[in-house]
Amino acid sequence: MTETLAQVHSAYSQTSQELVLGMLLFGLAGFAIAFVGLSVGRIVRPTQPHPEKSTPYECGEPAIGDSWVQFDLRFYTVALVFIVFDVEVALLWPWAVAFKTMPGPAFWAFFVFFLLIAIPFLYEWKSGYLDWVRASTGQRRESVLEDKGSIV
Amino acid sequence: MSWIENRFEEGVIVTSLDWAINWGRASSVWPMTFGLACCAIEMMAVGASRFDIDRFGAGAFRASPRQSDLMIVAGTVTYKMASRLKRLYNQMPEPKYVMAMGACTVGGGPYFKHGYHVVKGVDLVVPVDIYIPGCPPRPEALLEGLMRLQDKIKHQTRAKTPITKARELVLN
Repeated sequence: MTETLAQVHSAYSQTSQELVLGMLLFGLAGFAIAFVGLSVGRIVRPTQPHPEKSTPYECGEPAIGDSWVQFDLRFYTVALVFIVFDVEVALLWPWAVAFKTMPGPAFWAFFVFFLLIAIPFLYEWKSGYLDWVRASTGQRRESVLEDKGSIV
Repeated sequence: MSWIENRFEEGVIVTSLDWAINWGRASSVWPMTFGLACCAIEMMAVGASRFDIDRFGAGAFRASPRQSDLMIVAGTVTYKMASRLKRLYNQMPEPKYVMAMGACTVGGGPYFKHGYHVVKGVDLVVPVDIYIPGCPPRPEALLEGLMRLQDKIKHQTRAKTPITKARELVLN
């Protein structure tokens, strides 16, 4: 209770020194354990490298090509649309079961949901994302028309 | 081949290390599932409860060459399969052992004379540690083969071989 500020300070600095020492020992011990384990393993373990051992494909059959292939970006939009409609069909199923008990609210609830999906779908359709050859032909057609307009 | 191998003579360190490593290796031989023909049925029986290869620490059949120590070639090795077998053997990490199970893998077996498609012994493709004769061998025979393999593993040493000692004696 009657400790002076200097006493408190000295006590505090002593404990912090111990703390630092403890952490240092802890870190050193951790490093030593890992180092000893790894170096003993390096001395004892058999090393016979073979190109087959480092191949990512574990099979008796040699791999055909590799996984770094170019993938058509048009699949991206198709996959997104597929997921949306996949979920919609999954939700349609419990809706159809519940329809018997409450036809009115169920109909309107799903009508809103259906609109929320149908409007983006129509937008996508109109934008031409469902046309497989859009990426190459559609833009060219537009550019051709623009060129004609400029000429005429 | 490890760094310590064939470097020191038998001393307390090398032999203790031998004991520990061999004990570990012999007690957990993980076989790769490599059933090729009817011998595989016997191998499955050995894996099941009646014969129970797990009693010998070798019950963890791996479907990946990267995790297995022992390749039990159970069945007829055709020429078409031989290249795959060699590839899988090469993919296995050290230490690796091969067991030739059944007459076909030991030396062609019933296909020795007229089998135009059968490799006349799997030791023409990969180095074999244990040969188990039989057509197919009984499960007890496979267990016997495993025990002999464990004996073989337990007698491995990292000490200098007599040949190296003799060579050093001559050279010095």
